[in-house]
Amino acid sequence: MKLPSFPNFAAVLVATALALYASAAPVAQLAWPGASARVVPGEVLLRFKLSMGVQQRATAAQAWGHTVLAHLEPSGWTRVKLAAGQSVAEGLAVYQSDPQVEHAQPNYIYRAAAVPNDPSYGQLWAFRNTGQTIASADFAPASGITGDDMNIEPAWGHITDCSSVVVAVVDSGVNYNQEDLAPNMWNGGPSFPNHGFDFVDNDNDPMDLAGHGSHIAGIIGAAGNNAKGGTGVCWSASIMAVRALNAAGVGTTATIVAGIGFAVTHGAKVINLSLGGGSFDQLMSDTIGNAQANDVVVVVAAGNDGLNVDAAGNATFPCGLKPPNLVCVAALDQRYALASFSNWGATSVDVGAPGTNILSTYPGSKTTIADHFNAGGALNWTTSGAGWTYAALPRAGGGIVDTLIDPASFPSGTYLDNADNRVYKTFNLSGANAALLQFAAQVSILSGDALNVNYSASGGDPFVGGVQLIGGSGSTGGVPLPFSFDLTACTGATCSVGFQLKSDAGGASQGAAIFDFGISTLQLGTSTYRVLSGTSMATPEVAGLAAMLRAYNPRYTYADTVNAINNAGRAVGALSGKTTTGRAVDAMASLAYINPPTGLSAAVQ
Amino acid sequence: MGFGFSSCGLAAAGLVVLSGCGGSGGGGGGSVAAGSSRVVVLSWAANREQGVNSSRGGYQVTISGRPSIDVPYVSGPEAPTTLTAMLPPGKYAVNVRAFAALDAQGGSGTTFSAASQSIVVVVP
Repeated sequence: MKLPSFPNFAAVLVATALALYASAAPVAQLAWPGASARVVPGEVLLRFKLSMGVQQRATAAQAWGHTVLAHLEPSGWTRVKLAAGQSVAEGLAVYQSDPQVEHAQPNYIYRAAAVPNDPSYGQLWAFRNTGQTIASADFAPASGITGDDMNIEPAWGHITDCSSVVVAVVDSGVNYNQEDLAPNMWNGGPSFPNHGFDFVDNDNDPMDLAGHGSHIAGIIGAAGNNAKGGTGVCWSASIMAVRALNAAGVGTTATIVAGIGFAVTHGAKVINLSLGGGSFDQLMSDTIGNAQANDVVVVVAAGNDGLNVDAAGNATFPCGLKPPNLVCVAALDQRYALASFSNWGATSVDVGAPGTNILSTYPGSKTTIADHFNAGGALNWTTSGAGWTYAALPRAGGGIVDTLIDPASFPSGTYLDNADNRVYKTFNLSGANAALLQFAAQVSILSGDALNVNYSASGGDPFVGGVQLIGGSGSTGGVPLPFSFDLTACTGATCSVGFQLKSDAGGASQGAAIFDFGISTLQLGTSTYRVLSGTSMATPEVAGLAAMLRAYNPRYTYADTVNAINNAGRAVGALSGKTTTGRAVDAMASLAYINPPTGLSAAVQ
Repeated sequence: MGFGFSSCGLAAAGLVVLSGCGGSGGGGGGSVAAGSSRVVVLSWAANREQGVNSSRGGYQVTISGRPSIDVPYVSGPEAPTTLTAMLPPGKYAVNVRAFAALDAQGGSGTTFSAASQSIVVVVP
């Protein structure tokens, strides 16, 4: 096999002539590295007394049943082959008692390793964990243990170009103009000039307006060794952008299965699904089954609830579907413990991969407009009707939170009958390419009444000619819940957002409390990177590995690929009993993995 | 790793004469009775690893009571996936492993697959 050439990488390749642990101490006090060092079996390196010539050295070795392989001049060391079946430790012990030998050591193994020249590579602990502290970490611990990583550098010595294998990122889209993604986007030809498709808006532009998809794409295939940003699992890749999630990161069965179908139809052989839902979905199952029939590996996230997804009521899908072409991935932290947020499951989740404090590409800069509903303690939103007011209420867990409430007595008492109470405010979102409305709400609205949330791109009362984001009756069960909505259609100078409580004459309930209100805006750019954590980040590491394996072995099937990922991983205690394999992905071991032959038969003539 | 062709040598390309060979066996026990040897053609599906199907790759066949036999890659798109042997009457357990010159540290040490599912070959 001819090794490809890799310009501009730091190769560490040392011949065996070095004396690593030479010392003047007596042989009995030799020390050598611990069990993790790798050595050539059946060989040792000896330094005989200087007065001994080559023939005398050979005679000395033969006395132990050993054979001189080479004299390593000008070092004066001798490479010796041990007796058949003799271990290196046994061989070294033999020479401990030999007064003719001054020093003895194993013949250590050094490997060529490829390291890209990207400026942020030192922060990519998943690829090289040196115990480094990750800047802008969002999850503790922010530093780890040397060596606890994907073991990918040796793999890069054999392959960095996965571009022969199309990887579909079915997610919130991809910023295909990001400087470290642009070179590695799928060529969809004139039919798909933007490298994929958008099933949210049903158009030809899968631009990422949330951030999630671009981050995932970078983990798979941010351009490596281009002196920009970081690198993905694959330095060269072919990333298909499939937008199935909106700016709030929300999609549906319809958008996602359409995205998977598109990926399969247009030649993707790996699909990344860093998403999940809590219900069995027959159509999703059928769609992934179709992907299997088309020899596609599907890599999915285990989820971030910190739950055993094998337990009744905890299942997450598509992870829980468990078809043979699917790999479900849990997240490991920098100390190779199961990340506290990561789901796990001894029968559903397959492998672990680094998933905390992962630096990757991002579609642009995000800013958040946080609103506290008041100025000097007085409500500064526009109201109509007599219901909505501002209050500073105690927050569960401590502190005070600025809250919009109706009625003023919330949570005591009830709202009024026959009410049409509105509160709204106009925001300037000009210059933003996307916007996300987020708030927490505790709600109790009687059937027949309604709490409506609207926006209007024209400003003013959003309940006159505006667009509803959510509305109706119901309850959050006495606790606040987070809500987020895609507000991209309202990016302009006059975006009004409002809450309306409407009631009839048939009785009332507690009402509503709104807090932690904010509008997050995204301004697209080409050189943004961000640190994120989640099983969403662990999943593309495995998807990238699947692409690498299929690129290295062009005839690999989905089954071969899944076997290599699952069976060649590194046993990790934190995953034992919590995944089907008990293993973390190991890129080089997977590359070297060989599937057992099949179809053995015999014909007696 | 050495290519452990039988010391009895090759009768023809791909044909390994096992009857009358000495040496310790490479697998579990098999019974051998007196009688004329028969030609047994073993075949298996090709592995899809590029390392198996390139230089220093190939397969290793284990026939119970016999030394393992290497079937190395020679040329072309794939390593051979057949082995023809002469076996005296008896019952033999047979399996095959694939190998390639790539190890989990990224070097060129040989890696073997797990053994295939074993079959029982009865030579009457």
